[in-house]
Amino acid sequence: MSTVTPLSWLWEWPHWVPTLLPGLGVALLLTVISCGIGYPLGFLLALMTEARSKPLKWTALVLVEVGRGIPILVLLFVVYQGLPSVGILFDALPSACIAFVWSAAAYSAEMIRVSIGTVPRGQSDASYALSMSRFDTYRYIVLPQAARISIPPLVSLTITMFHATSLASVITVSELMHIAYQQGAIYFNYMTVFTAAAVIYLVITVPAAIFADRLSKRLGGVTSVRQTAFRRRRTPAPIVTGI
Amino acid sequence: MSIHTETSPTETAPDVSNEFVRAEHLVKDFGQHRAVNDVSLSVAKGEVIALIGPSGAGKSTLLRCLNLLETPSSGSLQIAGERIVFEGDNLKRPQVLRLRRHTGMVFQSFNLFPHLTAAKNVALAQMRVLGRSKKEAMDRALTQLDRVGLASKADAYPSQCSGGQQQRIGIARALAMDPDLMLFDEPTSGLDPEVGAEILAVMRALAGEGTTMIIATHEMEFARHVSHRVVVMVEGAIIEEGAPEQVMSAPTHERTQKFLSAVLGR
Repeated sequence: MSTVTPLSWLWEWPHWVPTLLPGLGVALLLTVISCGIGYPLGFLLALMTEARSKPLKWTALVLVEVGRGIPILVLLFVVYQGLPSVGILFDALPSACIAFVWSAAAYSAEMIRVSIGTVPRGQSDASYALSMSRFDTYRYIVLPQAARISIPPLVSLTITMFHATSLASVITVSELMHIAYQQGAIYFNYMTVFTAAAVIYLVITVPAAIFADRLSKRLGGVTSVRQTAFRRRRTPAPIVTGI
Repeated sequence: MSIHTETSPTETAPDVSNEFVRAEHLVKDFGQHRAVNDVSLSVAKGEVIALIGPSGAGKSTLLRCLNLLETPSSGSLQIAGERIVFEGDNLKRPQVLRLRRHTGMVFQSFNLFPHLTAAKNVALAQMRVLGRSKKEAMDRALTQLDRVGLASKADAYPSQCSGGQQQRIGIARALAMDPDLMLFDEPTSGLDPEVGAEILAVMRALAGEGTTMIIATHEMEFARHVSHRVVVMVEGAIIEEGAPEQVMSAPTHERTQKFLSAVLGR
């Protein structure tokens, strides 16, 4: 590579993109795994936190609160370097998957739980008044409306999870940041390599963020659950006092 | 069977011996607050009852107790010969669903399902609860929508319908389950008076067809002309009931007098 001058990173970073691309693949793979497994688990956890059975409810609450309360970096270290000391050993990549899945599940559980709570009470009332079962009420009335509400935050969470995959570099998973750091150390041109890495992250996240924004506007628009639930015209019932 | 008929239901008085609903000593507590206080009420098949009283009197809660959206704290309820005595948490789910099957409810805030078209709003429970095929449920949904004058809105979403239209869809949705008893919880309170009149016309026609109805309402003229019996609720209790003319013109209870003078502006 060429000599390092104070500004050479400005034009030299594109040379590093091909070297870093395999790392992007790993980062995307981690994102897909953490969200692909984490969100369905999050959905289950959300349902469990609403369950009437106390043990189910508390198990879910602990999993969610611990998953959200502990920084992902700490989760990574616990799984990769902590668990071996109690005899449980995972390779770097599976360790990262476990930590990210847990985190994605915990955060998405909270989002899904809140979305379910946003569906107006009158919706389940109406469903029950039609003699629909609790299961059908969830399946056909509450969840479709909650899904619509929870999609924009889940898309944002996916972007956040993609960012978070860079943390896996510290437990030697050879994702984008790990490769960038190694290359920077070998050639002592951190600024150039990190710029290349930053550009790669941006190429993924900026379009994703625009997509998330559009989606959220679209879902919040004409077909919005919240809007239709509250948009009706209301003349308050006459309040008769003096009795 | 058009809904726009002008028969006065009072001409065809129901056979009061044909008791269909019997609530006895119903009580509903919310914590310290007693929303329904020792209410006993019986309703004959085909009878139209207007439930009137000031806001917060427990009219809605009483209606919600009758279809078990709220579980009464004590008392008993009998619908179509099946009786439940409420004491603690003794309610069995199948029992609740069986009793509820006889009733249909129309809400003040419509509560249509915003993610489904008008026709699907009306068809869904038919398929899930009555096990009707999709085709049959949709056919019947169209029939019911036509009955409330909204066949043209079958494919519209609730957000594309006016408040009055939404409430008529709500009525069609309840009717499609072939209920024996219709509960109306202030169906016109969320609407302009003019639009409310549309709804009242639909309800008047239902009454004319012999539908058993309990209507919580602030529409005194409607109560007077369409109901067979007016029931006055204050602070969770029924304080007076009787023929509309008698209750409205010559109320015996002092509080009924006060209420009526406040609401009728006399």
